[in-house]
Amino acid sequence: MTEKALHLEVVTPEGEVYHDDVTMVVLPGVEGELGILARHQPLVTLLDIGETRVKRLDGTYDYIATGVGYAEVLFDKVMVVVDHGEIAGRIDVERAEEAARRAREQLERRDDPGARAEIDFYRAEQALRRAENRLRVARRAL
Amino acid sequence: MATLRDIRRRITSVQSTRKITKAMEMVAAAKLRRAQGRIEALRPYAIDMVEMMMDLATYSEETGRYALLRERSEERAVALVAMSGDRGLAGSFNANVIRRVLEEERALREAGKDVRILAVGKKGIGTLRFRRYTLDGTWEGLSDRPEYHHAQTIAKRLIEDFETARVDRVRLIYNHFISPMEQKLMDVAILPIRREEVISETRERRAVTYLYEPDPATIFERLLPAYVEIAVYRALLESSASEQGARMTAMRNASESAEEMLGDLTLALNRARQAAITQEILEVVAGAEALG
Repeated sequence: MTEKALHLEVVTPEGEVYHDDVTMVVLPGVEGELGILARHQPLVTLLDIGETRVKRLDGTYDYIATGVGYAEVLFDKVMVVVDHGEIAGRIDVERAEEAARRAREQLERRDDPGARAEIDFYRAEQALRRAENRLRVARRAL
Repeated sequence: MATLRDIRRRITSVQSTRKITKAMEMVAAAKLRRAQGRIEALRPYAIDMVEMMMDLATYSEETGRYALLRERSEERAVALVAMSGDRGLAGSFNANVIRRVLEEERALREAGKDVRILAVGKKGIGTLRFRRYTLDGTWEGLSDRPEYHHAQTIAKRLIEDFETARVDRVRLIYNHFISPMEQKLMDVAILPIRREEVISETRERRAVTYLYEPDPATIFERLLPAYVEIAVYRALLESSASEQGARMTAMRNASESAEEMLGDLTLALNRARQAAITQEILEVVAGAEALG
């Protein structure tokens, strides 16, 4: 039996990062991972920073590091609308490591009152979460 | 009268200036195209986001409960966000924004309101500080190539100021790109979010029954900040495109002036050379006559 295809699109503010017909999508929902197959019930869910796994028609997997946003499933079409998205093979590991290192350095100075004025800790924290997610997903491509 | 050497030196100087202005013009043109591409790239995301919010809002009984949408009964403090560039040499691009911010600041202060100024771009930050304004927040190093996470950082700060009632309204003042020759100065209130931007009273629920995780009202509320982020990001991109356009035009004018100046100088050079030759001939003739 051939599996029925789903159409997946991943849209970010900096452009579309993925669109293809696929067999299965696993989404990082805020309440846990969600596996979506063809003929799934119409669904709208919030997404957290994480990994979107895609099973392609040929059975291989693509991994996409995705940020926060939502996903909508309707009539075998999956729209993933998130603030950030990068496919595993195209993640610049060195840059991500550099970003993570920088963010960690900044966060280490959290208790230093002098640093409070110059460092945006929220930004550093977010940068760290994003960078770590990218690194985790990048390792999938190896 | 200027000597031949002086004129030649000036010609060389104008020529090298023209080389620089030409190069800057071309760099600005390339950056402008990139900025426009990014504005295009944002559109699908922005449309999907807003459509989804409008759909979700149809499931919300009392949309008055969302803090980001609530108009304050009294407007005591206003935040003005000035979006300038990190660099100059872009005609009146930076000056226009700053002038407008100062005008608005004065008007609000005279109306008895507190004004908090935040600034994006080294030029705006520098000028405002020089004029002894206290800046509530500053961001630099992003006007050349704004990225979405820059907008998120700024939006997060603005939302915080609004939610904690440090300010009752947030306005963005920035240049909107019309053409390389023309920018339109915008003054847009982004907080509170205008209801009609995300909620449509006439919209009907979708015919299909969806499963929502979590419930629609919660998703709506969690997506609201994205609306502010998109507004900030769009303003950053528009401002960046305007800056490059303004610089391109300013540099083109500069190159044209240089061209004109070179023409005049070449004419002056030829005239001076001719005069020198004539003088020399006269001297030779006079010398010959004296001998004869």
